[in-house]
Amino acid sequence: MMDLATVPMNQPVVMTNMNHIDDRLRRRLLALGFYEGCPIIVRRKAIFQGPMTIEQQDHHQMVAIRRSDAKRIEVYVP
Amino acid sequence: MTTQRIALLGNPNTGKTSLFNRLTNSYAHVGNWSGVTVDKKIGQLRGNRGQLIDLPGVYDLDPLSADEAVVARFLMEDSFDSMINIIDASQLERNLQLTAQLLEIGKPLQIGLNMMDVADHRGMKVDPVRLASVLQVDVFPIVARTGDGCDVLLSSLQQEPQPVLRIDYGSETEQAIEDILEIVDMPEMERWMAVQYLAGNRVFVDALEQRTPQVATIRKQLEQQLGRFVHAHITECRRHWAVATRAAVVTEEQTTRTNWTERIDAVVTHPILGLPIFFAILYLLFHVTFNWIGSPMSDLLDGFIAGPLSKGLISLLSTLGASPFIQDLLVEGVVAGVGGVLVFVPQIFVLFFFISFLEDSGYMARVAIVMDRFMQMVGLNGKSFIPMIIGFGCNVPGIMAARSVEEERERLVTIFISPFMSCSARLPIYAIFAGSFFATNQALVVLSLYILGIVLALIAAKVFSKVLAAEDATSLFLVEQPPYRIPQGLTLWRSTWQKGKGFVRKAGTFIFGGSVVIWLLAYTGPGGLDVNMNDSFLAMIGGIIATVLVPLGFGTWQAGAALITGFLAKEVVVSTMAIIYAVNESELGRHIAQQFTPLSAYSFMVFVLLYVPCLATVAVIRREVGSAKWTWIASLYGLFVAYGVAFIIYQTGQWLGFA
Repeated sequence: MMDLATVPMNQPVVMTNMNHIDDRLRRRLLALGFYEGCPIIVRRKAIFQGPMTIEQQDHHQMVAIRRSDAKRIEVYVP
Repeated sequence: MTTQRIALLGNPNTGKTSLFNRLTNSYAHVGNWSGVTVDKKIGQLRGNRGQLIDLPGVYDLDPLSADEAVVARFLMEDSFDSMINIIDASQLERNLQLTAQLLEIGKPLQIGLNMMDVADHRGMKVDPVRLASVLQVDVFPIVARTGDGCDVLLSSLQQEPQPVLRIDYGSETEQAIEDILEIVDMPEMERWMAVQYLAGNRVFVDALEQRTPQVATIRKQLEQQLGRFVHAHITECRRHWAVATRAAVVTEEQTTRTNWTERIDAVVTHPILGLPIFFAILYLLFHVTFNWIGSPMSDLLDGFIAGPLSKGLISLLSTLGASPFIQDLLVEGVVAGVGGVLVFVPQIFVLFFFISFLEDSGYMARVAIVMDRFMQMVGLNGKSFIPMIIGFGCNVPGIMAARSVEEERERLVTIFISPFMSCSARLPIYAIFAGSFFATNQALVVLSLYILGIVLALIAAKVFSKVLAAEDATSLFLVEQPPYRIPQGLTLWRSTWQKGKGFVRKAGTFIFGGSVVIWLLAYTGPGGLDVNMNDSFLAMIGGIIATVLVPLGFGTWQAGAALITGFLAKEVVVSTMAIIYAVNESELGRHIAQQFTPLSAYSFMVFVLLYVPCLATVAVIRREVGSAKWTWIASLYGLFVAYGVAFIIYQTGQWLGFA
């Protein structure tokens, strides 16, 4: 079990827990097809601890979230 | 027969506004950036088939921001006959989750299936016929960008009532839905509203709990029974429905594709190069606008207005036997005033064209990422940067676009700093001053003003964030990264025209009226009519202001008078000067060169950049912040900033030996 912020780029992982993020952020992630158990991959990380771009691999949905929020999302390497 | 009202709904970035443009006679602005449809727009459907209401794009009826709440509130409160749901075929599962919520409403619904080509590229074959039979609604494959298929959709508008979609949410949730329907005392209360309530949709929570506070207990009980967030459970049920639907209509095939979005993103959102590239793009934008296209075209137009047009008007007026008063009013007042501004129309359209291009291409969403870290330092959010860039075109839509910023505190701060974004109406002023004093470095000097505006906006943001800071200062940042699209010609032209026409209209109203008033004030004085301009009312009014402006380097009554009138609209500063010096645009530069030095000219430009938002901007700030006190603060703090910064620039410049 690790947090999303520490996942290296282009490493496929599975999202396991997003109970610890802000309620609205969780709602928006769910609406965009990111749920517990979905396969994701980190595509890019901005400089100075800026946002990171993650992709939902099932339907190539790309979103950018902050590194501080990613720290509170748990993932595991399958 | 009453006009039918049709609501257009869909996810952001699905081509919704393009479809709106195709189906209606009127234009709406299109942007490849989530949240560009900042208000609901109503258009007349082609062939008088009724009204089409364009609602902001949403991923879910559950709103996170002010502009998303418009959708839920519309569906709950407004009356409408049917819905058109536009779906991005390449993101079917995500789009279907919204469709599920719309089908639960049970109103007539049609689906426009867009971006089948994008889906094809990804190796997905979506079968519209099967989708129609699974959902039991009409599905029309369309290409919103080119208009293919839109006519068919338009000619078969659905009016038959729709069977309500009933997703089984599990026994506990179904029981809770029934309990809610039983106790809520609302005539139009329906199942879908109860579902939205349980999912925690803010709009429905407010409405229902106000009428029947007991519903809150039902929701809490359900949450305990489920042992998880109700909304997570409901979303999961909808997702299962969407996955099943998708599986029934999509056949996947393996393709090897080149992903352009991926390649472009590797460069423009590069950790180190991202920011320099962004500024290079901005510089290029200004360079092309001014040096390559704008200036030559403005010179041509000026040649026409100063030459054939003025001469023709003079000879026409003397043939008609008009009095010298009328002749002077028209030639020295109206032609000089309105013409002095009209010559900048080409530059402004070119600028709007590039802003539209950036919006439609999808680059703006990347700018939000590149800027987020820096915006966070001043208590803002990467998303706040998009309203700021739109503000380069005009502050009014920029301030409205701030609605896409979810956090209320961040939205307010974004609004307060927006007037520092140098809008296109300030361009004519820079063009004249920079053209006269800094001819060789025009683009660079103008860019420096834009950057000065951004820097001061960021400092102001820091201050306002501190003032407004709450203890639980949270911030929400999640930006969808849509694939890049090459903006389509027609759409680009329409959105450029949409933005630019306001400028032309202002020339006919504010600037026309302002020019007449200014000319009259300059023509009359305590001594009567046709006085020497230095003894006119205008000189007296400007003179009072001028005394205060001396330390800034431009303490002349002409500058004072121009600045007062600039509150109407910033371009009027140029009109006023053109009238005062009674010349056309090309000669105006020469007259100004006698009154200003390069240093005082720069100080003047800085002052104009910052001093007050124009009348239209103040009006929109009032509407968006909803408080008179904050409107006053937002409108007037710039004056102090402008004075301070211009003072520092002029005094430091003199001390360093610049003239």
